[in-house]
This record gives sequence, structure tokens and C-alpha cells, in this order.
Amino acid sequence: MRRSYWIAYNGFNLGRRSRRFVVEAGDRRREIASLTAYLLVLDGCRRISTSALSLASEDNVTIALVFKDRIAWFTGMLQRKHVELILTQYSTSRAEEIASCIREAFNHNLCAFFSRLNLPFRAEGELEEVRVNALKLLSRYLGVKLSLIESVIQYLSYFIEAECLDAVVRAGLTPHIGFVNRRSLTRDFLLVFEPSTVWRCLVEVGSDILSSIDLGSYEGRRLLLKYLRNIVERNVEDTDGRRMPLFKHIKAAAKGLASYLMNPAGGFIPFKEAVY
Amino acid sequence: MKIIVVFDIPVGYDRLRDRLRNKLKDYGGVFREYSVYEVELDEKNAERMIKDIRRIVAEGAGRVDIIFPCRRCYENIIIIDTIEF
Repeated sequence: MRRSYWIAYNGFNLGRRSRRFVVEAGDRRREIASLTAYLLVLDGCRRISTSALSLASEDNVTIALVFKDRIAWFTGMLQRKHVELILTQYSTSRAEEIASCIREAFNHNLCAFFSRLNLPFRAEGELEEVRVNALKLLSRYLGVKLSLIESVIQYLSYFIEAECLDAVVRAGLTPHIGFVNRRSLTRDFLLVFEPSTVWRCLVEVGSDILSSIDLGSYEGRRLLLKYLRNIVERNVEDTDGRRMPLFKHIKAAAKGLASYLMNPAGGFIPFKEAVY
Repeated sequence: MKIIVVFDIPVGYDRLRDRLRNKLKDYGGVFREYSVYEVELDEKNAERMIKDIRRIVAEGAGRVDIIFPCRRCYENIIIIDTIEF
């Protein structure tokens, strides 16, 4: 079964040997068979060889590079799907309907997140206002500065965004046309999954580790990523009763949107976490 | 599915052994013991891997055992490891 690999290490190189990616940093070396990977998220990568890019293209592996304020990505899959789906994504008359579904899912997942913490929260107002209020509440709950929480969320979001990006591209959609964020479909998906992944990660990490963590060091980043990885691989149930790991929910949501665009009779229900 | 590949390539066919090892690594094979690799593949890729192994071994001499343990058997494997690397 294919999986994604998140690599955070200072100044490593990505190369190729036979049909494997080779990750090298100083005297440390690790090989990843391209058949076992669908996504490589690289933080701290210094150099990627053209042969590694060629292997990624041959075996449909998406490569996402994490920078300070954005991610850049490489995929060889866009041109392989039919264009009809992308045209529908561009010109759909149901854009507003899809956007409201995404907003509703975000509010639902946010409420589900806070209800697990036994914190009363009502998602009222505009999307950004709801998000800021929720962040303030989380900051008070954890007893950690809001600015620190925001920077940790931003860093961890890149990895979930990369997972969303891969799911979107694999479903045959283009990541450049969004519904809530007009220019990015991956940001739309990130919105839906953020409370269940990144926000939950902050709670599991806990205020003690959070206040002492150094985001500038790769050790600190790797520690956060370990927690996030654990959450993404954990089985979660949605309101439809489907129980599977979160990264599979991300893929299912992208496929769901693609099939809704081609056949609107089915309806589009983005991921909504079950509340107990 | 999990697949365990055990091979014995005689002395004199060292390059063949290296090629076999490389091929197993290309399929995501994890080194377990000398001449024992564990691979996790879907059915389609497992068939491809078996074909490739046949092709490599046919060029020289050797024996390769490809074992498909069921999930229950796999979970019941007892590992006793006292070696520290």
C-alpha cells in the first residue's frame, strides 16, 4: 500500500537510485521505493536531482516543498486526466452551493473539535471571524500565546495542504480553482480538515511542549510532525458512519467533489466528523 | 499484502544476488535477515515482482522462496532479537 512521506531535516538532498528515492543528509541516508509512495513532503531540502523528478513523474509521486511562507509542488499527473472535469470545475453553476457546503463542514468540524474538549463554542458570523474566535478560545484553553499557536498551525497546515493537494490532483481536479478561496481548492479542503488534524494536534502536543518548542529547529518540527502523523493515520468516523484514517477521508472528499461536479444528482457532502 | 522473499544464490553469482536485492528494494522490500526481505504490495505489483524475480534468477542459478502469509499467520510471527546495531 502506498503512503506519504514527510521529511523534515536540515539541508538534505533528494536523489534517485534505480526505482528508489534516496534521501541523503551528511552521513545519513534513507531509500524510499517509489512504488510505496504517493507523496513526498520535503522541509529543508537543499537539492533535488532531475532523475528524482523524473522518477516522481514516472510513478505518479507528488513532491511538495515546504518553504517559510508557502508550499511549492511538482506533479506529473495533471495532464493525464480528462479536461471535462476541470472545465466543469471552472464554470460550474453550483460554485456557491459547494462553497456553503465547505463553510458548513468547517463550522461543524470546529464545533465537534470543541465539544470533545467540553468547551462551548458557537460558529457565528463570517468564516474568518469564526476562525479567529476559535483560535482565541483554543489559546485560552491551552494557555499558550495566540501568535505561537498561529505559527504552529501555519507550519503543520502545509503538510495537510500537501495531502489535500495530492488528493485533489489524483481526483482529476485542478488545485487552482477554489470555491471559498477562489484561487485554491487545496485551501478549501484544508479548511474542512484543519480542526480534525492540525488543531487536534495542538491539543495532543499539550501546552508544556508547545510553550517550549522551537519551530526554528528541525528537532522541534519533527516532534510536532510525529504527533500530526499519528492523528492523520488514526481511524476517524464521519457523520455517514464511514470509519477510516483521516488521510483516506481527504482522498474520499476530493473524489466526492469530482463525482459531484460530473453528476450533481449525487450531492456533495464534505467530511464532517461524527460527534458523540 | 505482506510477502516474505527468501533467496539463496550460490557463490559465483554475486552480481545476480545484488540485482535481486536491488529489485526487491525497488518494490519497497525491507531487509529482515541476510537473504530475507519483507515486501508489502498489492496483487498487481506482486505479480510484476514475481515476474522480475523469475527473469533475474533465470539468468543464473539459485532458489527463491516467495511466501504469502495470511494476516493471522503474519501476526503470529514471534521475533526474538537481541542484536543491537
